[in-house]
Amino acid sequence: MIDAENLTKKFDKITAVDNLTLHISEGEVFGFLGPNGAGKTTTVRMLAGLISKTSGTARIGEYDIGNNKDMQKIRRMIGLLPENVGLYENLSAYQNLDYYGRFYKISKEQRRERIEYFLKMLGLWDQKDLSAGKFSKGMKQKLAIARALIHDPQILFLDEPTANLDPEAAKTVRDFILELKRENRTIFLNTHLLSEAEKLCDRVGIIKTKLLAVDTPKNLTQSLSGIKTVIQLETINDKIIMAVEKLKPGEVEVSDNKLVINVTDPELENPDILKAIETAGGRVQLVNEVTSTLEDVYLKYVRGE
Amino acid sequence: MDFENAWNVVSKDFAIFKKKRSIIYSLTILPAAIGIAFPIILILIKNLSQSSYVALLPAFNALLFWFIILAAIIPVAVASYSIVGEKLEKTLEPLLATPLTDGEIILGKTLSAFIPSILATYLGAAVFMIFSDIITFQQLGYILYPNWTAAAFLLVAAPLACIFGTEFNMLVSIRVNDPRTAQNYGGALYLPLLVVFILGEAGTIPLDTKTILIFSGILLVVAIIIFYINKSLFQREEIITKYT
Ligand SMILES: Nc1ncnc2c1ncn2[C@@H]1O[C@H](COP(=O)(O)OP(=O)(O)OP(=O)(O)O)[C@@H](O)[C@H]1O
Ligand SMILES: [Mg+2]
Repeated sequence: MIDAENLTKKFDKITAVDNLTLHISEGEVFGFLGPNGAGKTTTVRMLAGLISKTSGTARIGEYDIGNNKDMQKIRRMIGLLPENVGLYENLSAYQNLDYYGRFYKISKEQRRERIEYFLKMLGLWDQKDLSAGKFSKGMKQKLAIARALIHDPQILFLDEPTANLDPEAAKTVRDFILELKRENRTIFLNTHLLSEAEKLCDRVGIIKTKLLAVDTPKNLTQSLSGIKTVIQLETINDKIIMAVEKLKPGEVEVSDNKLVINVTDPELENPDILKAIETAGGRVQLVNEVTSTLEDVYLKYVRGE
Repeated sequence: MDFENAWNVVSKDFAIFKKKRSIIYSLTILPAAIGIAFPIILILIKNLSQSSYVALLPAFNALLFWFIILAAIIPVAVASYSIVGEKLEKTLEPLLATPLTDGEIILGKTLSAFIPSILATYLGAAVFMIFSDIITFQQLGYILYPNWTAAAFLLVAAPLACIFGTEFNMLVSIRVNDPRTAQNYGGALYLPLLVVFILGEAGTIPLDTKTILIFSGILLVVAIIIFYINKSLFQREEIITKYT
């Protein structure tokens, strides 16, 4: 659905995005992570056709970015939530949405229906006639998301949708994004919140001018340190350790009364390990799984460790 | 060019103007004040110089020329807001992600400044003509306005001056970020037009129908040139990367 090959953007001498190659399929929620100035906004602006690319190619569906004729088609397919919401503060919430709806030739009836649907869903319907200038940050953010959706686009670019929101408003927005995912929309999400990326995204990319890694959150965290099963026992003795070593040679560490075992498929391996421990006379108090977090992975990449 | 899209921009701008009282005031106060003040000035001149209104008729036309100047400078109030306002509210980025084209934006912005400006000019001119008729009717024995000269001034020259003023202000507001700076530059328009007026008063050029039509032709050419300059200056990328 979104395909970039060696996409590059230079501003004078600064390279903002360097040879980005990326393929996002239909219905996927893709999280774009990276420090400030990493090129996330620049990438979204290029993909949304707002700024030109310096080199490389990018396609949205079957249309080429940068080709003037295709751009008109692309604009009808995509919805954009920019970093700055950009609402008309003197106009009401309803007027803001209606204005955008008209550019897509949506009938008056349908505009009214959709505006009502989105504003109700985002809890803003009661404030539909209030000037956007009187909205709180969170309300503005939600209104801008509704604006991006007014023409029912297949593809959404969301640039930090939960920035500046309180935890509850952020959750409303995240739930809303999950709802959009259920509707099989393709979503490109820039975010600084790793937990958000973990909750929402099928895959994440880590960028710092160059794309450093792309994979599912699960694969990324496992690739860093694998999965460990931690078993806490009443007491530990050599017989127990040897019994486990026999199952997982070289993969066992002992600390205090805990066994830390590297596993690849915990659900398959854990029952056998526990059985071996019990046969050797051990009494299990707790079983835990430990993986690296997305934060560990993120920090590793952006620090270049 | 999709005129519905351009008109959508216009009606959105009108909705904003309606909520911004200051724009409505700056649109209407000057023309109305001039419309009332000019006939009063004429009465004073007549009484002081003891001449008849017949002798003063060229002066009436010279005052009518002020409405051409007015038509060119009123758009300052509106045009400087309309693009700079979008920059300040950072509304251009989401707007440029819609199918709206540059030409449609420029046309919409031109119309949303032109329409209220020309209406305000006509409001002032109507007040002027009515007052002039009232004070001159007895002496002249006929109704002075409307007449062909007024038609040339108001129906040909004034709209062209207004388009010219609108385009010039757009040119300025595409380049600057602050409505006040835009208004200052926009005000500079006043000077060349004032020169024409002074030359007219001094008798160097006659302010008659023929001169006005030639003058209109020049305005039209300049306005068209500025429209194309505006279109080429309206660089999406620059606007987005500089002002959002
Ligand atoms: N108009 C511009 N002119 C020059 N440099 C620019 C311009 N816009 C962006 N840059 C540079 O490009 C790089 C990437 O910026 P970008 O805004 O894409 O980062 P980002 O990942 O979105 O950052 P953030 O997390 O802060 O939003 C930065 O070094 C920035 O300074
Ligand atoms: Mg950014």
